Amino acid sequence: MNLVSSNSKKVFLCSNTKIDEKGKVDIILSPEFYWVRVFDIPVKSTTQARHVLPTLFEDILENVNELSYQVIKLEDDKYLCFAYENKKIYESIKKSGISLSSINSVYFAQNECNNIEQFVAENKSFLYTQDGILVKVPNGLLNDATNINTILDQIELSSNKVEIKLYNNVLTPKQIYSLVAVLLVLACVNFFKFYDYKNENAKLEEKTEILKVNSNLPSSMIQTNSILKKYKNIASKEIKKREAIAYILENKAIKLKKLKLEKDVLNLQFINTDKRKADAYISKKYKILSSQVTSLSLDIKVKL
Amino acid sequence: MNRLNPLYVIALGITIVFVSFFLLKEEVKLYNENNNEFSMIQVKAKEYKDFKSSWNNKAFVNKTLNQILRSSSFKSQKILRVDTKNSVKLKMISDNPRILNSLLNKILNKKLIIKKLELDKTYIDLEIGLK
Repeated sequence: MNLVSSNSKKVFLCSNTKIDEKGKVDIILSPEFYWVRVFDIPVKSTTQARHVLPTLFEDILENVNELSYQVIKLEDDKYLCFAYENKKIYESIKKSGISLSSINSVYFAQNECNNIEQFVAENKSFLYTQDGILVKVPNGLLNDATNINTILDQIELSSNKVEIKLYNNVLTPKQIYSLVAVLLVLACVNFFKFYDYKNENAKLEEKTEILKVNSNLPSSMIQTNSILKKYKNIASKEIKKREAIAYILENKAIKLKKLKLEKDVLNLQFINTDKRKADAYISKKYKILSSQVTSLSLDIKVKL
Repeated sequence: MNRLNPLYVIALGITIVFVSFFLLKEEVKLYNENNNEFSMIQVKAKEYKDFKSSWNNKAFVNKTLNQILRSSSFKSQKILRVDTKNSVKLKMISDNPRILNSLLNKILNKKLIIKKLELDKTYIDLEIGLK
């Protein structure tokens, strides 16, 4: 007994069935939707038997490669084989008004109506042949046939569900698998690179910390920058002092007697030097704070 | 699986690929940032080390001054040196302007903080800062 389907409504689906059902349904497919045969196949499993089904159905059907197959083992080397067109069933279900999301399971009438010898549904007649195969027969052939819809609730569904794809196949399974495989490979490559970069980041962070420790850098970059700024200021001021001294000393036209540097003020004392010339030369690059002539000496104060 | 529309599977796959690209992009961005930071710290560490081992480094100042003053040209000169907590005072008296010029050149070419400098025909008076 199928516990899952016990609360679902059973629907016998023919090609012209119309139904307005909101709840969960179990669909029993009428023989219009499939071909069934008993084949003697000398294999041990249904999986093996399934592989040879396209060849066996080739005698009675066309386009065997576009069909889906299902096998039920009856006894050793004897299999009940189904062939069906997935798309046709999918379209009929949609046409019937049944919501795809409300479908619980789909069954072949062949397996579910064993207890009913002959019946009618949607003005179509069905009966089990002597071989035990359920077939559609012309209307009027059956005299005392039961309407299947009146006894649907009494039917106990088997475990032989139809493996049906309830979606429209835009892509073939091969294309789908290929596409999914490509996407997975791409994702795998990305994740691999992601972890690679993550490891590299961890290594870089470790290297940075080691560098900070080995160079005795302060713990924060703000402190480091502040100290560096202080040192750069010192270096810049010292370079300025040296440049100024070099500038004064390189001019041989002005005779320097004494040079005194204190903080950023340069006191210069010249002898026998033309004040205008000296002032003009120094003021080209530096600001002169004062310039005085005392007897033979010229005193100039320069701001660096 | 038969009920699951493959388009959903493909959509899921595409989403995973997008997520993987996003994560990878973020990680690459972080890697570039870390790399830049490492290069910057390398440069700063070198500068820091250079500065720390010169200018106001007491050991460097002493070593440099000793090296200069030990030079053969200054051995016979009168040199006064006073080491204080914050500076080193140095005075060289010489009638030879070349020697005074040589000392001035040597001092000015080193990474020393010149707090005071007095240059006359017969002497050089210097104060080298340690702070």
